[in-house]
Amino acid sequence: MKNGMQFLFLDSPLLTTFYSLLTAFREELFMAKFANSTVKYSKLILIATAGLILFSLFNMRDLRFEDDFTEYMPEGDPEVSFFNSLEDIFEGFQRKSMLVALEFEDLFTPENLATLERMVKEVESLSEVKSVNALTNMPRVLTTEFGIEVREVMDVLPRTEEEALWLREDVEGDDQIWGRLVTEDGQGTILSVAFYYDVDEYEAIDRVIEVTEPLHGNAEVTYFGMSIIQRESAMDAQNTMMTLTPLAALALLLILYWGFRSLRGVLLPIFIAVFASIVTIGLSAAVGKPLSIISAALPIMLLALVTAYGIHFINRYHEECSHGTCENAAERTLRIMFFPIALSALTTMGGFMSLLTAEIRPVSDFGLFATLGIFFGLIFATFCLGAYYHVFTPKTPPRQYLKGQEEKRDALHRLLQAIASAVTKKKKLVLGVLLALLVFLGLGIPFIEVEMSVEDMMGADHPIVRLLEYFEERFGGTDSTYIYLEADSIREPYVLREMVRLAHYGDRYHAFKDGSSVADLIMDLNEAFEGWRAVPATRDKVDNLWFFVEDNSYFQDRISEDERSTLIEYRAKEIDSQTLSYEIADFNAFLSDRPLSLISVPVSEEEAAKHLAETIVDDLEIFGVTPFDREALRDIVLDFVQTPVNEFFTPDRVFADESTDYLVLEIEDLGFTVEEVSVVLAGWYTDMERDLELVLEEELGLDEMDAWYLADLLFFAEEQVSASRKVEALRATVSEKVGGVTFGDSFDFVFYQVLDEVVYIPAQSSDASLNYRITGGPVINNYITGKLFNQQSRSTALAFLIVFGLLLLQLRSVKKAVIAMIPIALTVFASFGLMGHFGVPLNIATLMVASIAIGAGIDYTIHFLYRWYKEQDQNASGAIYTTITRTGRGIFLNSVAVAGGIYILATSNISMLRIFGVLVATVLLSSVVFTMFLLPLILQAEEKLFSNTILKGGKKQ
Amino acid sequence: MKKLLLFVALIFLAVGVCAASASALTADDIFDEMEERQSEVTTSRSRGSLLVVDARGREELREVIMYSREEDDGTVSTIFRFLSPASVRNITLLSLEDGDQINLYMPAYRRVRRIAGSGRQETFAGTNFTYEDMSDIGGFEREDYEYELIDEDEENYIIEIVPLDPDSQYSRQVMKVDKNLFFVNQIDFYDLEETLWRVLEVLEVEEMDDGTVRFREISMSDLKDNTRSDLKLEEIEENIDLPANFFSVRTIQRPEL
Repeated sequence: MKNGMQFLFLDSPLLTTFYSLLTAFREELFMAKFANSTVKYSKLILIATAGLILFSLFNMRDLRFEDDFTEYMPEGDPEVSFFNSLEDIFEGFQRKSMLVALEFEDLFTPENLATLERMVKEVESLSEVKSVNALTNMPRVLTTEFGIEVREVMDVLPRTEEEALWLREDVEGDDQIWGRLVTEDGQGTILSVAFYYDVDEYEAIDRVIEVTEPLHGNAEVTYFGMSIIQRESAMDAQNTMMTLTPLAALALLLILYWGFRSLRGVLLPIFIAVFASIVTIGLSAAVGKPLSIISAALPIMLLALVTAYGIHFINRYHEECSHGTCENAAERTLRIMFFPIALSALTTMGGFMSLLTAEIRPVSDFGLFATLGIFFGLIFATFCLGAYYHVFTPKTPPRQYLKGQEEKRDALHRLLQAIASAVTKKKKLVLGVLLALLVFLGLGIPFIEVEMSVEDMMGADHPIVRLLEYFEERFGGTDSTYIYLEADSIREPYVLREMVRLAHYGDRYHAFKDGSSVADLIMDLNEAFEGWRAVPATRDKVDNLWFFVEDNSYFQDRISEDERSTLIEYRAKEIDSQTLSYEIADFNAFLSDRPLSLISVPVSEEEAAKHLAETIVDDLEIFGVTPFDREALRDIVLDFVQTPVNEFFTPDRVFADESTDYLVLEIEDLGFTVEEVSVVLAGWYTDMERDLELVLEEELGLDEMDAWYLADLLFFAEEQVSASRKVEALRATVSEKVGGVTFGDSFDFVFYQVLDEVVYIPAQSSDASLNYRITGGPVINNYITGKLFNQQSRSTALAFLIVFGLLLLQLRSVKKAVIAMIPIALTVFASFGLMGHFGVPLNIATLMVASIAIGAGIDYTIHFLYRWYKEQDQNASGAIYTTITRTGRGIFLNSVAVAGGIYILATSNISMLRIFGVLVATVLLSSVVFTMFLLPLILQAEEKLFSNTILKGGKKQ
Repeated sequence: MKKLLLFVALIFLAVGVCAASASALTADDIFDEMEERQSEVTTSRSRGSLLVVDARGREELREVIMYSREEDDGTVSTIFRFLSPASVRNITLLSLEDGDQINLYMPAYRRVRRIAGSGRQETFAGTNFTYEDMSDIGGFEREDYEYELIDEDEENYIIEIVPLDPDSQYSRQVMKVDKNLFFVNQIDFYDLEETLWRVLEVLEVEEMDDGTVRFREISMSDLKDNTRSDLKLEEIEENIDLPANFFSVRTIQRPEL
């Protein structure tokens, strides 16, 4: 073979052809033409480059940052598209919305309530605003003595301190208001503003701020919404990019100047890298593709990675000049340097390209633009620099090049010498230390956690996180989760009951608090009509109530057009991804156990009665009552289920009073008082053999028709009172059995089921069917989080594959390529270990680190190996020494410069970028450690085991 | 729903706000003429249909039957019952004293409940009408408004009405009064931002032999919510005999009125 070394070769025709092309490329068959053309059209190239940069700068005016996590996944992703489709199904599902919080010394003063009302009216009047929910216009269903009152919380503005206090007392017990719309201390309140779907959300928010700012009086105003978060984070990302990129450039300049002692030699490469960044960012703006937060790191990454290409080119150019003259040095440099720089760029691009497979948009976008950036860097660092030096040829090279490339004897040199000495003379020690390090790092891997919470992404001290904490502390949170429920008809009592159950079940989780649904309103109305707060047992009752509320916007907004689907809405507290993931999985498990298909069976059938008893016991658990003896309780409930209502009738005055109280309107309509009728009814109880109609005719002087009417009503009222007594008896018995727990009105739902005459039991063929699906912002977030490991594995494997392929082509040997991959594989291993040990979670930024490390870190190995194989005339120790002290110097300086540039991200305001920057830089440095310490050991071992040519100091055959 | 009842009350009241042609040119003259031309209907029974169109364009047609009577004190009592579809069959509203007291009968519960509160600006199920709308059209009290004849076209006098009530939800209303028959043809309601909010249109009228005009079809559109309610009256009987206690809780609990 050409180099005479006995390496393994791939002999496939395809590889051979490709290899031949590359060889031709390297042997300047093609490069000569490229170099010649570059020189020939140098001015044109420089003008075109300048034009491209100006064009990019011009386009950068339109640069946008957007970071909507619901757009992280492709549009066709089933989970995301389902979430987005809810806006089309439910009027009330407005993704475009905001919150306005007001903090007064005391909200409940006439002046402050008037301020609130003015603000609500002003915001409502905006054409962008679909609805405003606030204390002032919150609908309330109140049961009154005669019936029902549907009104807004603040129909009339309190004019006195006393009226304001009454209002406070009125709403203090309403858990839909207190702690939600009004803070527990009565000082703060919130306006929830929903925008029309077709408005520009940012403009709409500005309009709200514009109209509310002048009105808030002595209140402190805080604005919040997903779009506000996005805008804030986008501004932060933009600021990070604009401020840290120059800082990174400065850091690079200082580090490189320290290493090369040539300002001119490092300024130009930095400019090249800046140009590559400008063109890349300008391109994204030109194609209208917004950048995500993580893309703010892109220019800094490019700056750090691309600068090396320019340094390689300029160093070589000056070396060429040092031979005598700079004439034609540009062309010569281009011919010599294009291939190694291109290979270095290709491996880095390979790492970034592996990210293109990611489904998560910010990751694939980052991969795409980073790949393009490296490509532009390659072009600028070779053709443009070649063209530049041809046009602006220096008369002489810098002095240090004229002096020749003497070996420097500085501290770095001494360090490299020490490393060379260690890896050649204390191999076991080095190996032992490395193994210990790897074991230690490996122990950290199991502790890697996936985390995509806002706090984790932005940092605990970030203003957005503090804003979230404020809303969580004062109003119970800002985000919502939902259960989408689909059924044959939402009006079916069973379906409404399931909604109530699911709303209560969610209370055990952080991400599913305070569940609410249209069933709540139905229960409120049922209380007004029937006397208890429960879902009515029959469809015709639900139909009647439906009529009453069907024009209520809260109601309408939460039901689909065909009345087959609805939403149960929960408040989601900000929690870590692990807890969120567990809660969603647990709730899903609960949902999967819910019956989806049911038939109705009369309760008179034993099976139905038992099922009803079981359901009531289950519901107690769902409502949070634990622990208790299920079996015993079920038997008690079953007894009640099977006891007829009329057994709870007691012919006494109290019962008569309760029955007549039930008929206040009807009795007064007949011209009597409740008391008068109650006395007559109680009297009749003493001799119930008599005809009640006749008694009423005689005692009250009613005509036959009115007597019949009243008697009929009284019998009905007695049934209702008996039913209530049955339920109360059950409530008391259960209370006693579970240790004296007081079951208030909120348990009406559970206990009033004992009156059901029809029971829905699970069955294959169904009278009622249901389907559930959990969704919402946090759920989408969790869904994306769940994909991170998979995404990372895929992109890392692909990065390995691409880089391995490129190594094969360059090294022309599987064994060499495998050897070259070992340090980078361990670098990736180390990166995972570092993440585990230092609690760096896997997120959309850190999942990219492995791919970037593979693509960028492999360059150090390639440089090392290139020199090692070049030093084949020496024995192994000598080759290692030369490689480490000569090439190692370049590797060290390059890695320190790259890492130094990227470490600048550690000063970002955004936690995710800080961690990303530190991790990438550290991992790149660790790749140098493995290259400098481990690779020499492997190479020496390989040499000893397979060829021994170098050890013998002779050439291989 | 209560608004719906008041809507019907409006129809009955508005029937009276019709008149034959006149040549008056001031707003007061026009209103005088409208009042003078009110018909002498004390009781009535009507069957009709109510078409409710929601923001999504969904339509629901409901058959209704209505009874009304002008009481001795000048107030109007009304019964409004839904006949179809089955889900709302026999749900009945009883309005007494011009809507000051409203009772609702829910047949599934066999129970009457009084509907309280909500104020003049509250809207109820089914239609786009508010109490304020009703009082403006049916029981328009001139002293509650400033008004002025601002224009006229070939068919209508155009009167601008500005409510004096500081709590009114409207900044102004523009009423079109038919020049020949002196009935309200259309009213445009403007919100406090001066944006056209609601439009009441009389779609079909019937001119009676005595020169009065009876509404047959009326429509209220909410331009903000993009909803509409049309009431079409098909069978109208006037000055019928009704028992003294007809407008009572007892009546609305009956399966048949």
